[in-house]
Amino acid sequence: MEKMNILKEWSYERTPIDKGYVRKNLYVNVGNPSMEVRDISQDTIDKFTGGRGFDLHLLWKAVTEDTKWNDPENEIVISGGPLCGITQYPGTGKCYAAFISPLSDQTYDSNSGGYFGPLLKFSGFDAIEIQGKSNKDVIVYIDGDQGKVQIIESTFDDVNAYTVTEALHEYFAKDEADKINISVVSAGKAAETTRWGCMNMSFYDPRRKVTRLKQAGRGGGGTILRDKKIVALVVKYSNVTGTENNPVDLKTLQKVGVKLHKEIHDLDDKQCLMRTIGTAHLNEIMDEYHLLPVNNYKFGQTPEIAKIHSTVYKKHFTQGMADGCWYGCSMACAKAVDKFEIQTGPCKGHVVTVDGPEYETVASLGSNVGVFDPKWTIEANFYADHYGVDTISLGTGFAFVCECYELGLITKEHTNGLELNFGAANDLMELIHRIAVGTDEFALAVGQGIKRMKTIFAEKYGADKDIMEKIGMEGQGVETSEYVPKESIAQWGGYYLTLKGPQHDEAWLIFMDMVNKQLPTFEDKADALHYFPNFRTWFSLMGLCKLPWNDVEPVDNSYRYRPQEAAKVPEHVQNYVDVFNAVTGKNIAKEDIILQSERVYNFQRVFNIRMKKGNAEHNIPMRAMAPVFSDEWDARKEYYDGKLKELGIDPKGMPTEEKIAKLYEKRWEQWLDLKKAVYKRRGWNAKGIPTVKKLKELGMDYPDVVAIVEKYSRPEDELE
Amino acid sequence: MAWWEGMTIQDILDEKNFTFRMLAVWVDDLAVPRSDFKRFKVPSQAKIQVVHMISGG
Repeated sequence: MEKMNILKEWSYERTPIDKGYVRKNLYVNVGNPSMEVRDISQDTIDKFTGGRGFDLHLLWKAVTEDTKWNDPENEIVISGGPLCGITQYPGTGKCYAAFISPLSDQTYDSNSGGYFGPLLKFSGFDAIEIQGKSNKDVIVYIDGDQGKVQIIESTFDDVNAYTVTEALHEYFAKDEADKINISVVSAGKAAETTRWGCMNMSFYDPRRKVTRLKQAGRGGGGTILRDKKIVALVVKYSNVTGTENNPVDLKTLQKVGVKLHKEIHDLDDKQCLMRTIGTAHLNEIMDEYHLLPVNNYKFGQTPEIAKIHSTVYKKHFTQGMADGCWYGCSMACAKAVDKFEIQTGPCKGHVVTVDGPEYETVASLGSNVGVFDPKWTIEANFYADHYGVDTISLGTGFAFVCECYELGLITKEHTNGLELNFGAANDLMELIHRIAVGTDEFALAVGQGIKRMKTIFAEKYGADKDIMEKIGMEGQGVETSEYVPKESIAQWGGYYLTLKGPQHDEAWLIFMDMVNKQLPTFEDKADALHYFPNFRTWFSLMGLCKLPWNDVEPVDNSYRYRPQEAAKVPEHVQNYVDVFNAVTGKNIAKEDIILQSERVYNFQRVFNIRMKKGNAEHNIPMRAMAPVFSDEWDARKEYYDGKLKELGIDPKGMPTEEKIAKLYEKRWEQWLDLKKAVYKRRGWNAKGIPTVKKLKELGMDYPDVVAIVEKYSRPEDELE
Repeated sequence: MAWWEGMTIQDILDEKNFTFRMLAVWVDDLAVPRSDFKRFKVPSQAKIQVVHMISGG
């Protein structure tokens, strides 16, 4: 690769990490090229803890309430957290990115595995803020070995992820062995043409001798990256050791880590099979319980499940590899398909390693669009990563398009010749390529996301807006992830009463609610929708992956605790407390986890209120709560007739359309009851605005935060 | 479901088609380890609670 021109270079002195923190963040402006190393105050650490907390704190200061996602003031902020980069405990390589989202026009936080977070921290920065917009394609390079930051003029014609990532690992490494000391953040062409751009974050796999990609997939961070004309962020740090974080109590850290490693070793094969199949172990389980999204969430089960069974995918994943996405992760669930020959598009004929698919992609670029061909899904996964687009958004967006096409709301004339029925594998793959090329008007419309597609399809093609509102599976402008929520009231909240939109990383309550019946009242559901989002927020403050929390459990977890407690996996929660204290020297208890999280959770909600000027509405489409059309009802007639009877309505002799209407009417009331119960439990008013009292309780009553709450709150909205 | 002499927890799970690997089962107030599902005989009139320890996404 030809030498690239360094446009600007700065030197800095690397501060070593002390008890999990550097106490410095890196600010880089690519529009008005500048760089600063800024201090992180103790108050920031005490209140925002790290990771996503730092991101949001920095982003709050960078933007105004009028900042749009594509304004220069918008930032991408990436941070790991105090536990990011430890090697003694599984799942500690995560970093979290926050930004004003092109989809939702409010904050989005998106996380990724890979080496970027840890290497950034080891290079001397708890967080990196990228602001401004360059007038030419650039690469931002942080050389943690030399203490240099560079803005480099990119020479890439092809900005797609695998091209850029492989080349930059090669460019910045002194030899093959050095490639592992580098991580690259990249997007791709589809990040330029859609609002669904993902940020790929790499790590080098020395056994396979390829670069691997994890994704901060959701929310459109990759779209912002390319809008700023950033081709890549690169970090390099050599000589990684197991004590980079300078933990206070290494012995405890090692002891707790060994305990979990043993648990994974002894139990994973009997539990979630993460080491052999990864998250794709969920495929048939979701199908059995009517949770697998099929044909735009119309159905939760399919007769085609045998074709996408986890054992089918297992045959594609290379077995026996150390597939952790950071050192020391024995959960090793980053499965990959090796020696896969690409059949279509610009990479046709190439033999590649494809990361995944994860369960989410099996469903989104699979059952949800009616395609039950693992090789098709693997190729779609490859191109989504390579073109820099989120697989969940892409698949759920396509599912909406397919149903619009099947209903005749859009036609072949509108789609420029593509016949986008469910299952139209060839035409759907062609649509992926057209999105990346970016010249096809219809493809560009699709890439605007479901929320905007509804308006475009109505205005340009005369499509029925009312029907599209019912079937368009988006919340707050963000596409829904890949579980059918309609039969779990708690999961309506788990998806649609979230901070950022229907992504499952706040609360996944479907089994607790729908199968186990552990949440019978609205107060029970509200309590779960307080605890689990706050508990899971903690991972994002720390730099942790959630999978080791509950994708393996101690052998006695199911009978040592009552079911409500067992769902929390108490022993693992205690592990996290012990690990945090061992690294930082603090002395928190389990309850402090929720307090640390609740501070950031409520701050983020106020931030969203600020950006939406008081109107951060929680919307929910009908398809997320109930059948919309007769075929959905008839597929589970006995079940749905039973649901009407439970509500005191006799379905006998009633036309199906009327049954649907009556069920939806009742469920809408339940949604309103749920929303009220959840807002109250969270300490918010009837509009979902945190109260000043709540902010004071949490110590988050900063004047500018309180000012937002006071500006948009009304006395009549109080929920006491 | 109807009880029969010698019914085990595994029999119940098979009848209900509960195939998930991580199940927690309580018989009355007694938690039963997974390793005992095939041999634990369920008494008549027992209250059975089956909890799926699903982690989800």
